[in-house]
Amino acid sequence: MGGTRLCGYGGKILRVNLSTGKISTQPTEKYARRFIGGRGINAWIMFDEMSPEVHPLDPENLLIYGAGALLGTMAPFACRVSIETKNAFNGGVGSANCGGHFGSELKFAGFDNVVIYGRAENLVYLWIHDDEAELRDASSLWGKTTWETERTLRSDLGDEGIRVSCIGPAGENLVRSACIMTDRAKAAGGSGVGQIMGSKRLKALAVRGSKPIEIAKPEEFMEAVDEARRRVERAPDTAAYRAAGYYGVESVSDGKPWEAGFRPVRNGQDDYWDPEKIRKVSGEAMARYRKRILACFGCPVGCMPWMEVEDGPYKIRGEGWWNNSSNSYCTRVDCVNPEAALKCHLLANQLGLDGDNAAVVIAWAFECYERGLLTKKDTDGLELTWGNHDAVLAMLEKLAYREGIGDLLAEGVKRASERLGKGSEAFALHIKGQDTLDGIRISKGWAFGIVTAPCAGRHLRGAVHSLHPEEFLSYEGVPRRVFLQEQFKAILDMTGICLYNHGILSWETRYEKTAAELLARITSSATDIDLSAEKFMRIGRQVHNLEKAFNTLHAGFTRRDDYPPQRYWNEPVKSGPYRGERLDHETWERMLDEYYELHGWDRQTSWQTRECLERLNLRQVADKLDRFGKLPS
Amino acid sequence: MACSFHHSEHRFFSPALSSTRVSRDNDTGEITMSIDSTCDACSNESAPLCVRYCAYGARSVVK
Ligand code: SF4
Repeated sequence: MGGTRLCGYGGKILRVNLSTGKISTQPTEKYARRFIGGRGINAWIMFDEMSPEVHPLDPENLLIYGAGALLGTMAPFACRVSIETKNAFNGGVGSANCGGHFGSELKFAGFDNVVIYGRAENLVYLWIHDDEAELRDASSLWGKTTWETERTLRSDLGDEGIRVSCIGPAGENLVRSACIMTDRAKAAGGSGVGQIMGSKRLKALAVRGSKPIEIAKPEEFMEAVDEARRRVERAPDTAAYRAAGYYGVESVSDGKPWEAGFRPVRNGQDDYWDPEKIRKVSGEAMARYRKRILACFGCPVGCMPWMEVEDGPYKIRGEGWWNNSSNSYCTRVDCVNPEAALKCHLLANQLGLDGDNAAVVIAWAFECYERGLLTKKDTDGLELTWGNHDAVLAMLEKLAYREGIGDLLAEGVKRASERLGKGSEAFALHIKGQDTLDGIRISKGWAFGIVTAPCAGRHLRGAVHSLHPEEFLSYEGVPRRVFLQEQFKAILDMTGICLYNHGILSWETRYEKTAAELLARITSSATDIDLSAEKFMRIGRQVHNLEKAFNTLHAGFTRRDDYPPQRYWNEPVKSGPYRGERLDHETWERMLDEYYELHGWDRQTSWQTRECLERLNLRQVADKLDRFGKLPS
Repeated sequence: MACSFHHSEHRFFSPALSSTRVSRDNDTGEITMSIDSTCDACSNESAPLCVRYCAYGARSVVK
């Protein structure tokens, strides 16, 4: 511990015990040279400090915020915060991630990570400002939406520049699909992070900072930043994204993203949607509600539209409408009303629901209704018929407040289907027990990455995809691509670079190494930690292995947990250009063999071997797995 | 950010050291920018850094 303060960092890790009210700090340097920042440092603390007996909702579960190492600098796209915890769905790795301005403000306040432990007696919030932190009573915030919470805290603390990361009613009511909402619109979703924050009786973190971030080698740093900026300007998609946001470019005329099956239709009964329906909610159709494009801290592109429905029953305005919003509130429930869909998205943000998870369990309920497994009696009179957008809106409220059927759905799709039974488990879409949004029958690399990722079922993890059919339909080389991509994704999460843009940073080659080299240059010149692309990828692999070991130890996962939902094996795509596509079970098994081989993991159990862990300088991890009998014999 | 780099003689990033502020109203989505009297038009730089580094072209030098 100790030593000179590392450049590039806020400098301290904040530790908060909600049970005792004790607050302490330690130097970030203790962890930074080994695990860089963000998700890397969080993953180590999770593995090192958590005992396998701890239940996700126990006070002993940790909830850790980690700002990426490049936040608060001029590195383009450096804005992401990783939130790690024990997953509320499955007891394994819980990991969520969001952009915005919160993370850089945390660094300007002098902190890189915040490790939260225990449970407060009454609702509290954590107020962090220049080297200081204090817990404050939040009883007046009980029941407030995420937007109201931000508004109230800014007004109470008298500073409109304060950044707020908080839960809404869904988190307070311990709904598994609750997210942590940051800057009103950036959802750190999945893993039940909002439920866990709610279980700790922590309503919000509010942060304000004015401290500088020192750069180790300013000249080299700015040269590398200039190179990144040149790549951004040269990338063919930059201008289009700036003008319309990411979703804005998803038009009917360029139907590829729709056809590639990333958006399952009617709870994944199909992966192809009628172009007439697409036309109603495509990027072009949504343009009429888009007033401007906003960006996260340090983002030279911007992808976030400010949307307004000016009148009518769905009148609302706010930030956001992403590619996956059209999955959650359009294709998955077969709804084509753009205004209702926008209202769904912004309502979920206010309630503190992760739209990706919430939509999965709601669409499952719709399919139960279609099959007669749920009736109007079970739904308080709501007709859960495909295309009924008003029912989707009503279900979001029920879910967030655990009202009526919302109480069942609040447990997530796996538990809800087990409780209902009647064969509904067969179309409950989850991976490793966690609700999964993405369509994965058509793009094989996308599928393999999403399913094998330690924090499974989340599209920000380990997934590789391209919009070239000759690539996305093929199983060829998929395990290797995923193996590389998962290391690279860990680099992004350690530095806090937005995933949406690594394609822009490396667009010339479409290969992670180009971007890894540039990120190594930027990070080592900012921090003075000696990094090369190879070293950085190796650290990425260490982080991935830490999470894998956490899953083995805490959730008991084995090879069987690297299988996709049954529906994607058994039911092919029903229509469109990829009709008949599905995941092939035998090929999947062969891919798993190859993938485990690449990692040096045991083929039969999927567990890590001592040898592979020691090669990665993770002997401590091997020893712990050994103590619990979790190394292959 | 670029502004604070200039004011700290190319050592630090910190919005608090900057002569310029960009803020957003989260109720309306509107963005406002301001520049205070500490701005020296990046006297010793080849061009004002905020102009050079604003990816959106929101800044320009008016002679
Ligand atoms: S691309 Fe979008 S999410 Fe990513 S940093 Fe830019 S504005 Fe934020």
